[in-house]
This record gives sequence, C-alpha cells and structure tokens, in this order.
Amino acid sequence: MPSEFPNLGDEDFEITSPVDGDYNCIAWAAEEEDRWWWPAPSPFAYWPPGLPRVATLDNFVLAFGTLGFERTSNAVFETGFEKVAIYVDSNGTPTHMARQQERGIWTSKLGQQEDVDHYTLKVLEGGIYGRVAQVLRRAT
Amino acid sequence: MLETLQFVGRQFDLPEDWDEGTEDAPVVELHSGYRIYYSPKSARLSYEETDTERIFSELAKEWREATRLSSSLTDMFLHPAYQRIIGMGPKAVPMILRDLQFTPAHWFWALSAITGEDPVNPEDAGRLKKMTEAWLDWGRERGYI
Repeated sequence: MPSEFPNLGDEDFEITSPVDGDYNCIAWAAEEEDRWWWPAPSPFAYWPPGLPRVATLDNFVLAFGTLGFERTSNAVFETGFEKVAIYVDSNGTPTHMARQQERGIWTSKLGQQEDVDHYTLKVLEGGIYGRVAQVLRRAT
Repeated sequence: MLETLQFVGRQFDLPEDWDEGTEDAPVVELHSGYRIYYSPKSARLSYEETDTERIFSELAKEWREATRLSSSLTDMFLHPAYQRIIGMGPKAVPMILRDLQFTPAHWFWALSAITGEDPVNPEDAGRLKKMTEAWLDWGRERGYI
C-alpha cells in the first residue's frame, strides 16, 4: 500500500475498480464517473456554474450544496441520509473527498488510481490527504 | 533527393539541404525529438532520442508518479516537473501530444499555456477523453502528429 497513507493497513480497504483517470475523487463523491471536478479555470475541469474557481473548504461546501448537501458534525451512518467528507491539508486546502455508502462503509477514488472501500475516514488521514475537516449530508 | 522520410511510424519533412550523414554527424535532427543517422556503409538508418526528448520523458514520468494519487488539478499544474515542461516552450508541444495519444492525462493546461489556444468545447470541461480528442485533432490539423 502506498506510503502516502500511514494509517492504512492491508485490512482497512478493498480495491473496487480498475485504475481510471477519467474522474477524480470529487466527481466520485458526487457520483459521477466521466469528468473531473475541481475549481480550476474552465475548461480544465468541471465546477458547478456560478461558483468561484478557488480551492477552499467553503467553496467545496457550496459545490456540494448544489447537490443538496448540508454541513453536519456527525460522520456516523444515519438511515435516511447520504454523507460525504472533505479532507484538507495543513493549509486548510481541500485535497480529497470520500462518500459514505450503505452500512457506513466509505468509498474513495484515489487520484487517478483505483476506487477503494474503506471502513473509516481515519485510514486516509495523516498522509497526503491531511485530515477530515467537514462532513456533509443530504436526505435520501 | 528525398523530401520526406517515413520513420518510427511517422512522416517527417526533410530540410532542402539534407545530405547523407554518418554516425558522427546525423542526417537531420528533427524538432520532434529524434536525431536520425544514415550509414553509407550499411545503407541503414538508425535513430536516437535527443536530449529534449529524454528530458521530457523524465519530467513527464516524475509528474505522473508524484501526482498519481492527487485529485487537485492545482497541484498537478503547479508541480515543478509540469512547470519545467511548460518552460520548454513550443518544442514540447509535439511530445506532449504524442504522450496524450498513448496515455491521456491533464496536459491541457500546459498546451494552452504554450500555444495560447484552447480547442476544448466548454461543455466538455473535465471530460478527459473529449479534451484529449480536441487537442489531438488540433495537433493533427497543424501537423504536430
């Protein structure tokens, strides 16, 4: 397993897709698989229309707000809600997102590599993705 | 006198004053990064990558490896290896396009920065395959690939 994830052990995750560079973790959190989401200038990536093209936590919250997500402090699985988590680096800049699935298992797209299921958010913390700064939820 | 040369699967335009070379003196060094030799003794062509091609390959490999787990296009575009490739200027364009042909990646920022152009339809923003197709068509129209 990559040394970039010091908290991740062999039993903590399961690879669920082949390597695929067509989408990134932000798109995957938004349940899209055919384009990159990132607040880069158009047309280098997709970002919800009307939102600023700056990589800040608030802007990511706004982007997922367009999909109906709202802030929550609770990452535990709740029946009737979908959840996503935003990771940030030491500067507070978003680096990664994960999406909660049924039974509370999280799924992440690792950059341009594979999708993985992971049992906690913590296993991807402490390395290149930094820490979870915000969890969002929407009613299903 | 030959005017074009089919070589490594591509057709090159030769300069008007080209002449037979030797192993010590290449026939022609092509802008695309290959130096071609002709051996009169064996009547055979050979080639090697120029320093430009080698440097590009090394930088591209470094960039791919360093950013393979990143979703941040900001980090990808600002990576030092990517910036060095932009700094290579127009001679990097055919090498980037050839790389795109075989392994689509986010070279679009570099291509736009170097050429000042952007052939991607705004509706295809972020769609790697569509963006790649747009730039490869652009390159074909201009004879880069």
